[in-house]
Amino acid sequence: MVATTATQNLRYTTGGDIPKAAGEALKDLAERVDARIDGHDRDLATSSVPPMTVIERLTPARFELGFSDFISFDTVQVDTQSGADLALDSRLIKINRSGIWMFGGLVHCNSLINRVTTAAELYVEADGMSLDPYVSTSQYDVGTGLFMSCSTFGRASSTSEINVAMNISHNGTTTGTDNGVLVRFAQLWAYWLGDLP
Amino acid sequence: MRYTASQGFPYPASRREFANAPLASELLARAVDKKLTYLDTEWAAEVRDNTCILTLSTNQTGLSANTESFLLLDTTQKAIGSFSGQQPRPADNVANRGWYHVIMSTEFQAEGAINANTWRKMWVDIWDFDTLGGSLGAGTPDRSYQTMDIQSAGGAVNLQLQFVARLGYDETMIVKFDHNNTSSTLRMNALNTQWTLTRIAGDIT
Repeated sequence: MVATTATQNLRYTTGGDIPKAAGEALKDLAERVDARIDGHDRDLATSSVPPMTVIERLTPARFELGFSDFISFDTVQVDTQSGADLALDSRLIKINRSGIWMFGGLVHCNSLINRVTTAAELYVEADGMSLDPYVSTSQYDVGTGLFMSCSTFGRASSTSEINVAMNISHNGTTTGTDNGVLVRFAQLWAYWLGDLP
Repeated sequence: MRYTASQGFPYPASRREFANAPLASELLARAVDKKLTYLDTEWAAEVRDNTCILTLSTNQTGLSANTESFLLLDTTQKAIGSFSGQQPRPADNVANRGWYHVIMSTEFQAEGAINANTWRKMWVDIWDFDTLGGSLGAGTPDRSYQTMDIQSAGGAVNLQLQFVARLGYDETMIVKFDHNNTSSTLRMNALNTQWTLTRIAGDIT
């Protein structure tokens, strides 16, 4: 009589089974193991090449301070989930897989143009995730440059359009008419940590 | 014999093959054994490689002004790579090349009266190990990532720095500190410095 294994429910023949039963049990065994190992192959493929996007700005450029001007990027360093299309919109990473994601950014800037001693803030957000998570860090500006980085993680459901972007703002006053900052180098990243629990 | 759609496992398909079930079961067992052995090896590599390095340093005191001071490592909590002298790097093992999320923090403390607008800086230089040679910091690093802040009053400024970088087996990272306060009555210290490298992915482009 054909029996099954305790955990995986795999079929095998026992004493007294006719040869035809043995053949059918083997076919069933082969197909069940095939399906289980398919699952392992998919998990391994995702683990070894996880969804991730890293974009950078390598050419210095000026940006307005505040939320009116998100940092734009000119180089895609890696993109395994088709999250970067700099020709379409060079300011953001699009999240294309549901799950838990880590995202963050880094900037190296000259000091604020026409600044009064103040704090500058780097702000990175994921618009469209659960609770629209954001993270920020700040640094006082004393004319020697701004160097800031931060990261956090958020939940991406499969039905939302989710974009990760960053910008720089400040909390002081500006003398003169130029309310901008020169970004010499910037990096924005997003990588998948795992499926939603 | 017929074969399953994805993995190609054999199973008997004719009466004659049914009659020789022991041969059919041996062929199937061998095919599954080979595939499971491959998976065991690949998953073991994934678990081994997707770990992080957590490194702590001794407290470094009396840092000189306007001078690049190197981070000195003394403790490795969990390593996937090798450590040579003052700098950690992914191991020479090819499997450990890949993309890393690097996170650093330090407590940059000022002992004594401090001038306003004293800046404190921490940065990471990534070097081609072959060009680094025997002189730390000579020449130009391949890449550099920096954090900085100021505090007008005394006490500590907490600095943190993070970035994502692709690291090869022949690259190494060096951490440095600097500040600009030249007061002889002031002592600047980098305390509780922590450095983690979390592997995100293999060496993909």
